[in-house]
Amino acid sequence: MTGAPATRVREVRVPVAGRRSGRAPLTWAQRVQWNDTKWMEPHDHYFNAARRLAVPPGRKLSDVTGLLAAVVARHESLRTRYPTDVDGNPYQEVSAADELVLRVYRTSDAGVDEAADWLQGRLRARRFELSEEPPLRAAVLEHEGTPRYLLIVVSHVTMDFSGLELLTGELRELLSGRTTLSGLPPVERQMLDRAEAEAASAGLRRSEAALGHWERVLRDAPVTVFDPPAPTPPSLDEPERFGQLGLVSPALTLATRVMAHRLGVSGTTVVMAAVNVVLCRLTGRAQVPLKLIASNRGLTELKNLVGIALGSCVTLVRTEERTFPEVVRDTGRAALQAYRRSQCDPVALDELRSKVSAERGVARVGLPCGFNDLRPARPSSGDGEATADAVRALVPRTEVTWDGNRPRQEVTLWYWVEDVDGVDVHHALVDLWYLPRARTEELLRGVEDVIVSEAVAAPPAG
Amino acid sequence: MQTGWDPQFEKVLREHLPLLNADHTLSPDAALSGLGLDSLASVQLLVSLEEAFEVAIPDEMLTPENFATPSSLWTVVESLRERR
Repeated sequence: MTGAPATRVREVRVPVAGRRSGRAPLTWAQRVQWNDTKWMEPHDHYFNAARRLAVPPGRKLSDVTGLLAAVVARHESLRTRYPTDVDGNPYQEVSAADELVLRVYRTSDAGVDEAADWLQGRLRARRFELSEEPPLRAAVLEHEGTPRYLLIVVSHVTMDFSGLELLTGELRELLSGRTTLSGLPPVERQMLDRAEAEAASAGLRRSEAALGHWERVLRDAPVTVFDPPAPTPPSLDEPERFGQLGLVSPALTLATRVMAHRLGVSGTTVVMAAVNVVLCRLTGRAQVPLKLIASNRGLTELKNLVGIALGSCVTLVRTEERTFPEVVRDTGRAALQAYRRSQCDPVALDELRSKVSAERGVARVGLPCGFNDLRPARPSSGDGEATADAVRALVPRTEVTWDGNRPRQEVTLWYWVEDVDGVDVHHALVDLWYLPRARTEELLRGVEDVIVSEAVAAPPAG
Repeated sequence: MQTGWDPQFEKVLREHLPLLNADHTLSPDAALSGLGLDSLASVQLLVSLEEAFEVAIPDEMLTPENFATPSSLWTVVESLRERR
């Protein structure tokens, strides 16, 4: 086969009428992601999220278009632009009257799934011009004369993972006919309402409390975490500057469950504690700040928001002369404190960081490490009580993989964990100038070693 | 089962335990982490409890031990209600 697996055959434009227009400052979550997006330009398509929804048999293109237009009318986050004012400050602007643009593609010689993969990649690979372009990009893939897939790509400034799950859930229900537009619950809160809530006194108090937590960390953290290996780093856009390694370890998976069960904490806390231990060892620092992402979706007012609600927060845990169970306990406590302070004004935080940095005599107190655990909560199957021999038997199955180079990153290390077919896969997305492949492998294997060694050791009596 | 806690406490708690089936009894000494309560969910539970019982849980009470079981968490909430 030659040529693209699908070709664009037409474009459908549908007017969308929402309930209101409005303009407001960015919410804290929008601003966090707007900053990251600007920093990443021109590679900011990296943050785009794509989803593919099967169109059930019997649904026509006009049905799909109509339902999607109605959903865009419901959710203001999909009718928002993010321009800047004369001082360069971004804001959100919602239009009641907008337009949905739906591109229609037809499969060529390829199979429909192959064509859908190609089209999804193509739609995701282009950045959003946030000041003028709708933050939702949509296409329908037709195969043998009927619509087979609806593909959507959203800007991360407008939607986080949880918001996108809500959006796709709503679209799936509508496409399947399990619900109708009139059967959907009313939308209670939108991003404009969120901006208003953050500017109210309760919101400002919450931000102040969070800034207090950040200030303590910024004053106690080491001013730099990684010692530069040479005086001048390569360009951030040097193609081989950033990359990712993975560690696939059934032994670590089981050992994490054993330790979580033994210490009465979540597996996330166990892994985060081990990362703290190994980072201190690797950098020679007594404590290393670790940035976390809080979804904030457990909060009633953010639970059903089809938009972005995430927040950034930070822990700082001393690991010197502490046993691993003590570090786990301290990490759990630090995570609780951090998540409680995960909502603050990022502009005020930036000013605070500049002020503390100047007082400490550096350009910027370093916050180069982040952690995120994407594993879903899983019921215990009794493996928390697995024997040391069962854990040891899995160790030879550990594999380290090179996941390839990545575009410029704001961090030196982003440590993240996911579940792949029941096995925990640990990833280290790193700045290879500070953490070359061998050193990154040492980090990943170090985390495995800390947790596995503890799991196979006899728990203290009593 | 004699739990001793306010029914509202159990209602709020259950909303934050994704791995607890609605028809299963909540034991006072159940490990909340085993029922899906991680650090982030603990903080979101904390906010719900503060709203439901009109208490403010101070930072020093924000420890893994206090969020270990329904019983340990209810002890915290009850002590704060008594202080009001």
